Amino acid sequence: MLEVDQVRFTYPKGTETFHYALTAGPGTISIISGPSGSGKSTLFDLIAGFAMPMSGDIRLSGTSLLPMRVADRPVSILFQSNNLFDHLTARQNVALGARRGAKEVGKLADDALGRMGLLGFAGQAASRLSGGQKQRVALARTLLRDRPVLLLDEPFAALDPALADEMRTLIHNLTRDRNWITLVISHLETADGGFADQRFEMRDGTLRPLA
Amino acid sequence: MGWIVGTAILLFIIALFVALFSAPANEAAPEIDMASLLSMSLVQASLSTLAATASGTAMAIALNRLDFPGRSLVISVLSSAIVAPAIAVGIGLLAIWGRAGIVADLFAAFGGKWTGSIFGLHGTVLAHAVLDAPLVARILVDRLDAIPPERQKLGQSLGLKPLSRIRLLDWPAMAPALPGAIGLVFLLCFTSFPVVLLLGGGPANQTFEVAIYGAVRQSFDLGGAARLALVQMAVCMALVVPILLLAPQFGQTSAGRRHVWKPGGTERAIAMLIVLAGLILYVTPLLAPLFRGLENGGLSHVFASDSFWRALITSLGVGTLSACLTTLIALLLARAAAASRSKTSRAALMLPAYAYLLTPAVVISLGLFLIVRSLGLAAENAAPFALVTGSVLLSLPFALSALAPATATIESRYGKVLESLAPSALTRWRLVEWPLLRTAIGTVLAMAFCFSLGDLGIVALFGTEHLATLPWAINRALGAYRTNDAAAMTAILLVINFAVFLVLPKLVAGRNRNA
Repeated sequence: MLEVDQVRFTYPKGTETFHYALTAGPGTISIISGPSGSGKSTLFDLIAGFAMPMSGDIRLSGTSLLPMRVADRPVSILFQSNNLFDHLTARQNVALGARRGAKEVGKLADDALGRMGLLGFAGQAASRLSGGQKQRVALARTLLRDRPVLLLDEPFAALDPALADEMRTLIHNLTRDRNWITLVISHLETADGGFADQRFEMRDGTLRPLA
Repeated sequence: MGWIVGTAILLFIIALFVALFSAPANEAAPEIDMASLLSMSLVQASLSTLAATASGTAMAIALNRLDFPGRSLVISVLSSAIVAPAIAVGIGLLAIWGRAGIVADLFAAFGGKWTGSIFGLHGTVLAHAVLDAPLVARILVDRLDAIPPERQKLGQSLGLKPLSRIRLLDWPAMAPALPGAIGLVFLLCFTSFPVVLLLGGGPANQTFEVAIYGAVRQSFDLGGAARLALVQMAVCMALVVPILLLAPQFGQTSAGRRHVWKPGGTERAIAMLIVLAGLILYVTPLLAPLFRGLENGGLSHVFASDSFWRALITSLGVGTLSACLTTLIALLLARAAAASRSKTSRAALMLPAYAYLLTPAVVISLGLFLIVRSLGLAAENAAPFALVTGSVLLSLPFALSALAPATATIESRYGKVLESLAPSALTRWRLVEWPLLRTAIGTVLAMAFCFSLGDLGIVALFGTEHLATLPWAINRALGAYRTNDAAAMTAILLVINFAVFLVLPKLVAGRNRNA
């Protein structure tokens, strides 16, 4: 269970204070919506460790994440773009972050790419992949890392509707299969709402559950 | 109008080349050893470039890792390197490491004797590192700060080790800028004049610039000087143009909020040490003349000298005039290029101005000197014109690189509207161009003024006892072993230089600073 417990945050030179409270269980997808600049991505920064709350706690299965370094947190994160290093191949991008022997990682990366239907592109430079392929390579990396919390920041915004649907299905299946806790920031409420188990909205600096 | 100016510049370049090719030789002059001069210049420029690039890159990476109050001030200090007069850095290093310098004083205070020397190849390389490392750091830190925050967060989340971080995040961001930065630094070091003149320590370490100066001033071998100038330009072109053309174009930029991925304890401590060391390396040679100038009544002695006031007034006059002319010419060229429909005509307008990047100050000065002589004029009478013209030509590439993008943006965004409304030239300037260009104009005015104020290359062949600029007066004071006077005048030069560089752009930009 992921608990964001009465977290409060203000940017160093900011005037607005954001308030967050959220609970999400394994195998579920939560959608977070709200206008630009309302503090949605800040919530992800807090969970991933890029920012530290002024008060409150963030726990996974009862253990606080706050003392953990970013790289040690049980979190994978995917952005709308810039998830891959353009000059590396798809395989090298997937293999990054896995701390095992090179041979084993290479095989695991190929397995993960295979599950995304991209094995044929393993040796291709990331810069030559299409937008949808890039997102699937990034998702393959989360497969390899297999962290229990998956944060997706506007992952479908740059994709055409058919590709976005394909990605939703992939994420839905992975979340169920792996028992991940998946949080998705989205402004495409109509399209993304359908695959959510629960929905939240950032309004006036506060995260509120939607019915 | 832009075309007339462009054609005038082109004709001037042709005249300069004709003058260089037809310069008379002095048979009695000593033989010029071109091969050893070339190899020494290449060794010096390569070592200087290596030192400046390595330390500048380390400084940029260290700055990128840190977020502290005053970081933007540190970056502004680095920016000032572009206008830091080379002669001031040379004097500063002498004031620290020279026989009567601060280090020698410290040794003496503890009963020791400083036997080291700043003269020679190592002194030249050190001075170039001081001058050019901040420039490299300034260019690269912009690239590093523009790495998309998502990518920084991704690297942090994946737990990249320090070397992997440099390889995967920093290198792709810096690589597109590095060939240009290295090319520019190499050009600056290869064509360096005041530093080598002051610290080179004799003919063994001289560059082409110093050899040209010697050929004209000492042996009056104009033909030899012209040959040196042509070889120097050919080498510059052969070495630098391919570097600039082969520059890889991949890269990544972000205009959003910078994500600061602060490293762990040891890495952060190393980053802080590098920033501190870099600042000390750059700032101390600039501060040393201020202290030396204030000692022993240096300032009051200088203020009492008529020749100092004449040099100051000449410098300010030449600086002001060349700054205004540079800005006007750059504006006319940039406007004509922006309005031009074809790529070829745009290139035809801009290229002659950019050609001066490969033509160092002493070569411009030599060309002007030869033209003046061939017209039968006395060099002394033509000197003010030569100083202003030379300064304008030196500043023009930098002025164009600041004004051309802004002018092109106006044309692409408002060109059609302006064409349909057809306002008068004055209305167009007052309501559209001035508000949108004044920030860039402020920068160009300040840079052109500072380039002119600190230049020793142009005045080197025209300067006399009666016509001196501040850098020339400093050089003469050093030649006469009046080191206190030289330090005091350097201090004044630095204060004016940095005050103009910091204040003028803000004054001109007014409240429209972000326009």
